[in-house]
Amino acid sequence: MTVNAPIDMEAFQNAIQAWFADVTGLETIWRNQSAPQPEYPFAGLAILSGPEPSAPQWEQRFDTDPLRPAGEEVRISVGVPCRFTISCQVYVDIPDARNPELNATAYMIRAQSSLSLPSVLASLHAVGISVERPGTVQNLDEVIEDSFVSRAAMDAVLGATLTLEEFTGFVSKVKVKSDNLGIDATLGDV
Amino acid sequence: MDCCIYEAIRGMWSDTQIIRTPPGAYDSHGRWEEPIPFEMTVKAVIQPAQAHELVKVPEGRRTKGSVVVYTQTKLQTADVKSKVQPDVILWHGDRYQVEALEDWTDDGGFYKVLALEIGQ
Repeated sequence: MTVNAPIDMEAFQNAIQAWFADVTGLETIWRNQSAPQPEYPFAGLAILSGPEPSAPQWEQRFDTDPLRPAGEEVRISVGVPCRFTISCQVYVDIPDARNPELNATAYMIRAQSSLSLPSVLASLHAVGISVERPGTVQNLDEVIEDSFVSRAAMDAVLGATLTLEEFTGFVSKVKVKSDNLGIDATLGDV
Repeated sequence: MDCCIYEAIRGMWSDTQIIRTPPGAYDSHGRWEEPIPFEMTVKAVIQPAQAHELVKVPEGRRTKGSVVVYTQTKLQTADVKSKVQPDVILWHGDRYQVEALEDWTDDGGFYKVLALEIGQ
C-alpha cells in the first residue's frame, strides 16, 4: 500500500526559503544540488533533521460519510506535531566580509531576529509552520582557496504537523459468540 | 615538450561524445533548474589517468576512475559566473565529468582535461 505524503514538503521549503530571502535580501538556495554556486553574497539552506514527531502518539480521528464511495465511508486521520531543524548559512566575500554591518554574521542576526516579527510568523503559519527556536548564530569564517570568506550559520528549529489519512468501509456484519454467555449471533447485514 | 605531445597525439584524434548542459539558473524557490543537455562530438585523445576502481560504500558498490583528455575543443568545467555545469565525456561506456582544464593552445594547440568518472 502506498500512502500519501504526510506533509507538503515543497510548500514547506518554499515558505522557509521565501522567509530567508525576504529578510536578508540574499539569493537563497537549497544546498547540495550538485549545481554551480551562486555569486557572493548568498545564502544556503538545508534540512538537517526532521520530521521528528514531538509527541509520543499520533492523534487518531474518525469521521463517517455515507455519501462517499462504497468501502470508503469511514475516514481515519492520524496527525502529530513534529520538528524540523533547518540549517541556514550565509556566505560573504571580500570586501563586505570585513564590514561588521555587511558580513555573514550581520545577515544571520537579521534572519534570527526576524523570527519574532508578527508578519514573518504569520507568513510561516499560513503554511503550517511554527518557530520553536531560532537557534544560535555561529561564525564559520574560513579561508577558501586564497582569501577569507565570511560565513555564518544558524540551525533554526521549526514546528509543523504530519497528517495522514486512509479510508475504510462500514462494518456490515459482526459475528458474536460466547459459550459462557450462550451467545451465537450474527449482527448486521446477514 | 607540449609541442611534442601535440605531435604525438595529432594523428590519434578520434570522435568523442560529449554531453554539454547549457547555462542554468536557480528558480525563485532556490532550486536549480537544469536545461536539457545535448550531445556533441569533438576530436580527442583519451588516456586513463587513474584505474577504474571499485569503491565500497555502505549503500553499495560504485566505481571510480579518471581520464586525461587531449582535445582542440575547449570543454567546460562548472562555472559560477556563467552558471554552467561541467561537460560529461562518454568513454568506453562510462561517463566522466570535466574537473580541470589546462589551456595549452598557445604552446601546443590543444587543451588538456582531467575528468573524473561519475560513479554508479
